[in-house]
This record gives sequence, C-alpha cells and structure tokens, in this order.
Amino acid sequence: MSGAGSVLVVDDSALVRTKLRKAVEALGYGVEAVGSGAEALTLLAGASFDLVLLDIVMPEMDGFEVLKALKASPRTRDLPVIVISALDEEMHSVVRAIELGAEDFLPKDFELALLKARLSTCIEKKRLRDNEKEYLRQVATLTRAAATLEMGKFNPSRLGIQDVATRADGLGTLAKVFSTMAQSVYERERKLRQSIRTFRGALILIACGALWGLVVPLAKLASEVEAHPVGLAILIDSLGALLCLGISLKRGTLPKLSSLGRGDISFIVAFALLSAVLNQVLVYWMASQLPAFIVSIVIVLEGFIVFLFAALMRTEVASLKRFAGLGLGLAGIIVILLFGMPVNIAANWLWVGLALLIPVTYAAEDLFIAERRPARIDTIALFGLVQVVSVAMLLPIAFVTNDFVPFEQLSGQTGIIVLLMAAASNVAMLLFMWLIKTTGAVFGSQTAYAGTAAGIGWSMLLLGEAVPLLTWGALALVIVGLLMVEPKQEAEAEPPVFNDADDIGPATGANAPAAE
Amino acid sequence: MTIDRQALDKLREIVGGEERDLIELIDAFLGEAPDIVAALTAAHAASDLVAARRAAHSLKSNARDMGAIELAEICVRLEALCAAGVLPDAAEVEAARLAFADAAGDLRAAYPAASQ
Repeated sequence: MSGAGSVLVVDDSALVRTKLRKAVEALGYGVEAVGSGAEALTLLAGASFDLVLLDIVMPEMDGFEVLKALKASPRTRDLPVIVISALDEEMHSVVRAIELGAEDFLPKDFELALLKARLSTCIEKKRLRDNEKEYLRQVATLTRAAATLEMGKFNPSRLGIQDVATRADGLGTLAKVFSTMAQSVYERERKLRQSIRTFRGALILIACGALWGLVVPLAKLASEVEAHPVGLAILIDSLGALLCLGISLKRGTLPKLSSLGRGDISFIVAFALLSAVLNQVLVYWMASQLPAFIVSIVIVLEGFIVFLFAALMRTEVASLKRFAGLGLGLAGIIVILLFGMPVNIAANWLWVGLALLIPVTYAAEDLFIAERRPARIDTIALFGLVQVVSVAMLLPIAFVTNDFVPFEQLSGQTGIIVLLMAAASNVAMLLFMWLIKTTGAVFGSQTAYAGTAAGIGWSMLLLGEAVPLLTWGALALVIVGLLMVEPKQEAEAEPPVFNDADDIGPATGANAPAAE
Repeated sequence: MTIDRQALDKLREIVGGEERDLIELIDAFLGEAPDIVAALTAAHAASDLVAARRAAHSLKSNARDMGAIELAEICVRLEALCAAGVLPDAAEVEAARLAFADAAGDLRAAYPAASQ
C-alpha cells in the first residue's frame, strides 16, 4: 500500500472503475478496485484501507447496503466512505448515504481538483481520528497500569506500558515515570524477599545442622561397647521408615506403588544405595574409629564438592565471591586437620583419608536431590520409601558380615541412642530436602558447615572430647565462608531494564508517535 | 461527429494526462456499453422498469464520460421515465442503440488504437 494512503474503489461499471482507479493512482495514492458490494466487503474484512469510493447504483448489493454493512462492523465502522453519484437527479440518494454514515459525496463527472481535495481531507481526518483512538487506547492502558500499581503489583513487564512509554509527548513521559517508579519499587521488593529467604534458609540450615551434628557423636556413643555400623543403619532406617510411612498414611500422601514410574523407582533405589548403604554405614563406621569431632569436621568438605559439581554442570551461578567463600571454608578445615587434632591421632591418617569419602557421598546425595527428585511425590512419603529400600539392601549385608546389633544391647542406653539417632537423622533429612527445594543445592550444602559446628559442640558435650583452641579460630573462617555463598536466586522473571536516558523532551521527527 | 472532444480532454486530464490511459478507458467503454445496451433492450422487452432504469443510468454516466452527448440525453429521458413508472417507447430504446452505434463508430475512427 502507498504511504500516502490507500483507497478502495467500488463501482459496477468497468469504465468508471478504471477512471477512478487511474485518477486516484495519478494523485499518488495506493488503490484497488472491485466491481460489486460483496467483493468490497470480502476485501475489507482482510485488508485495511484509508478510504472507500462507493457507487450507489449497483445491481444485487447497492451502495446503501454496503454502507450499512460497513457501519455495522467495529472493524470498518470508522472507515471513511465517499459516495459517487450523478448529482443532477440523485440529491436524495446522497442525503440518504450521508445519513447512513458516508463522509462526503463526489459527482460522477467530478473535476480533478475536487477529487484531490476530497481524498486528502478524508484521509487526513482518518489519520487524526486513528491517532486520537490510539491515544485514548494508551490512556486506558496507563489507567489500567495505575490500578495495577495501586494493587501493589510492581513487576514493570506486567504493566504493559512499554509501547506508551515510547511516545515523545506528555503521556509517554507519564508512562516512563510509572515504569521507572515500578522498576525501583520492584527491585526493592525483590531484594527484601531475597533477604527474607536467606534468613529463613539460615534458620532451617542451623536447625538441620544441629540435628545432623548430633548423629555422629550418638553413633560414637552407640558403638562404645561394640561397633555394628550396618546393624545400626538397619535399626535407624527401620524406625525412619515406620515414622515417615506412618505420617504419609495418615496424611494420605503415600503414592500407589503401581503409579510409580521408572524414573521414580530408579531415584528411590539409587538414593537408598547412596544415603543408606554408602553414606550411613561409612559415617557410623568412622564414628566408631575416630574422635567424633574429626568426623564432623571432615563432613564440611561437602560444600566445596557440591559447589564444584554444580559449577561444572552449570546448574548454579559460579561467582568469584561464592568460590572465595567456599575456599575460605576449605582453608579453615585444612588448618584444623593439620594442626588442630589431638596428639595421638597421627596414627589414624588412614582413617582420615577414608573419612574423606563421607563428604563425597553427602555431596552426591545433595546434588541428586536437587536435580532428580521426583517432584510429584510427597517428601515424607518419598523418604519413607527410600528407607524401606535401604533396609532391604542392608539386611543381606548384615547377614553376610553378621553385623546385627545384639538384642540385649538395645534394652539399655543403646536403645535410647538408636531412637534419638533415628529422630535426629529423619527430621534433619526432611529439613534438608525442604532446604534444597527452596534454596538450591549450594546453599543446602552449607548444612555441612552447621553440622560440623554442631558435631563439635555435641562431641564436647556428650563425649567430653577436647577441641584445641586453634580449631575454634579455624571454624571462624568456615563461618565467614558460609556467609559468602548465598542461596540461588528465586526463579522470578527479571523486569526489563528501563532506560532513563531516553529522550523525554518534545516530539522529534525520529520518535514521533505512530505517524508513519 | 457525435463526440464532444472537450469531455475526452477532461477525462484524459483526470487520469493523469496520458493518451494511452485515455485509450484504455475508451476500450473499457466499447467493451461494456454493448452489454448495457443489450440489458436495456431486454429489460424494456420484459417491462422491467427497475432493471431498465439502472441500465439507462449506467449508460448515461458512461456516455457523459465519453462525450457522447446525444446518447447521454436519450439515457436521461429513459431513466426519468422509468423512475416515474412509465415504460418508454420502443423507439426511444432503439434511438439509444443507434446513438451508441454512432458514438462507438466515431470513437473507433478517432482512436484506431482502441481494439474494440
């Protein structure tokens, strides 16, 4: 279509049609010509024109009927129509056409100057009307945006006023002010939400760590008479399975076994193998051999391994600050391992090496939950099922190694310890799963730091283990490292950055509103 | 000569001043006018006043554009009679047919490039 405007000619006479088409074309407008009212309506339903030149006297569908149809449709209601008539004996027809909504009329034997004047006036009026309609539409958009802001929703990309803000007039300036204001409030709110999340995450993390830290010294206590790491794991997982499945049954969240997919089952089996057979047995075994605080301290390495994995797989943002935080934590641990052990521990370096496997299994668990956890199964039910499978895997091992905890031990102090361990590790695991779901694997892995600190505390309290002074200093480093690894950002749509430097002065040719 | 040359000059000016555009318009007239004359004759024979009036109306404006003054005047009379509900004489319709034949002959003679 021509930039000057486009005109549709409707006339049943080939001669008049050709005459009008050529005349309109010669004046520089785009033009199409059709021979009947029906053809005109079909064309107008799809294409857009700036003006219609319409013959009144036509067979089948006359000009009046075409006019009525155009004025009845919202799409063509505002399209200007000039009716063509042989003026001499058709004045009443012209009057009727104007009453039906025609903009003007043109005599059949028109003068060129008259055609030119009518076309340019009509098209200019339509342009003004279109601009006015667009302006009103944008005012309505801005009013809606204001109501949205009033309701306290500040996400700038949801306000839908970006196109209004590109206007170079007062309305555009108002939209820009709205947008900029919403942007800054939204930013502030987002930071606040992030802080709340960090704080809540930190509280859960400390609770989770305190419970987990309890497990190692308790395992040490349980193995003071005789060490039975596999038997201990069977008892604790059986209790855990009873607890979790009991809760799930009561809440009705236990999934039907037939509804479990291959992915669900492989997660449960792999997780049972990882957490029960490898991690649990290893922790209980190490606890029987080393001071509990050393095992606790070794666990802290988990954070570094998780972050390394996550950064390599690009599932979390690896910033310099986060790397520095984990590095600081690691440095603290190395200081403790090298200089903070009791004097008689030198012979146990082999155990320390084996103990280093513990953080690797923790890290694998952590990432496995973060990446593969079947979201549709309830957390407690899932953990219950995992423990059932754990027990099934551990039983044959216990038979072969004859590692069951003897019954007579369970009646005394050991029985209470087993109950406490089951409660602590189950609650800690559920908190841990919730933490990973809401804050991500890297932040979740910091449970290890808290667990370590708690483990040391519990070891001193329950076992009377002496922790060298240097160890405390090194732990301070670990805490600073913990603060430097922030939880992952909430998956929230980033608002578009609004460019304040945009020209908000008077209209310039370059960005005048929709006048092209 | 039954053709008003001034009308053709005005027509040429309106469509941009080019002779070939004028010839295209004469072509269009010579192509469609015989059908309108035939429609007028048939409508008159069937005493269909509405169709006869529409044909006379259409032929009238085409004739004016082409400067066929006599044809246009006959059509004005035919249209007025039909509008008044009076069936015109067959002679008047025949006069229109002859006036068109004269005009067409003159146009062909003046513009041999027109193909019809």
